[in-house]
Amino acid sequence: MTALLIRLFARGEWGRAMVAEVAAIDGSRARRRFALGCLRAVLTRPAAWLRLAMFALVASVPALLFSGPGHGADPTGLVIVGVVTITCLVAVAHADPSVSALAGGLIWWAALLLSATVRAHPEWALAVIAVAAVAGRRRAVSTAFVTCLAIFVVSVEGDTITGIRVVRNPDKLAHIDRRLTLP
Amino acid sequence: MARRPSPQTAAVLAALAREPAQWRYGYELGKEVGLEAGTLYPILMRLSDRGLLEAGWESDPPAGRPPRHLYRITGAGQRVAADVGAVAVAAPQRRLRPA
Repeated sequence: MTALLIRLFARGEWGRAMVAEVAAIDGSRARRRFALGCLRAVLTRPAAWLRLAMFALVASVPALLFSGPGHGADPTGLVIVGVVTITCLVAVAHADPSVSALAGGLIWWAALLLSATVRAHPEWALAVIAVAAVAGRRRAVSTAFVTCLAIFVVSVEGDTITGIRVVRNPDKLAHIDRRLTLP
Repeated sequence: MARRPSPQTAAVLAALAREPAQWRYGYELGKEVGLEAGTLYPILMRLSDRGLLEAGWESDPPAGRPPRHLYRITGAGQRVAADVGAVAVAAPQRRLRPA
């Protein structure tokens, strides 16, 4: 479990190093102790906190949707959102650990949550991917892709989640804005 | 290294400098210098970023286990260890002097 968390928050060389070191230790107590120390070490890295923030933001979109009126009794929507959220979280877990890429993704997500205008323009997200691709940053593309999933997460008809598609109509997600602006 | 390293960092450098050609594992290095993983790894990362430490991977791990990360001091690391070591060795002598 701890090893999983280490891998989740520390991509790249040091995450692999810690997991391998933990796996090589004999004795479950010593192993657990070392693994917890590794987790503390991982959390000293800014990239780990950015990744944590990304997880929280990815999870917040369906959470906001489902805390809206009338969504609790919609099992189909629940399954759809569950599957898509897990897909998003897995994508975040595999995204690039570089601070700049994650920070960019974070700003994009925040913009999606806060601005109906951004949500209404999925082509902007495609532009982000195109720019990243042209700039030759292969890993930035993966991060941009993850952030774009926000737009594809769910579509809402009235108060009911009906499927996964590109959300073009900002009115469909208007209750997110209402909830965010409640005192 | 612009700033004087912490006692923990100095201890890691000194341990690595004792056998400069030897590749070391994180776990046994931590045990040798008495540091928990939570303190050791940030030190190793910093030393590596500053070029005082080189890292490599175990070439032939046992089946079913991922290759471990290995650490060895660089030439620059040895120079810093020598500077820090002079102080570290001098300090205990002062403390051990009978009153």
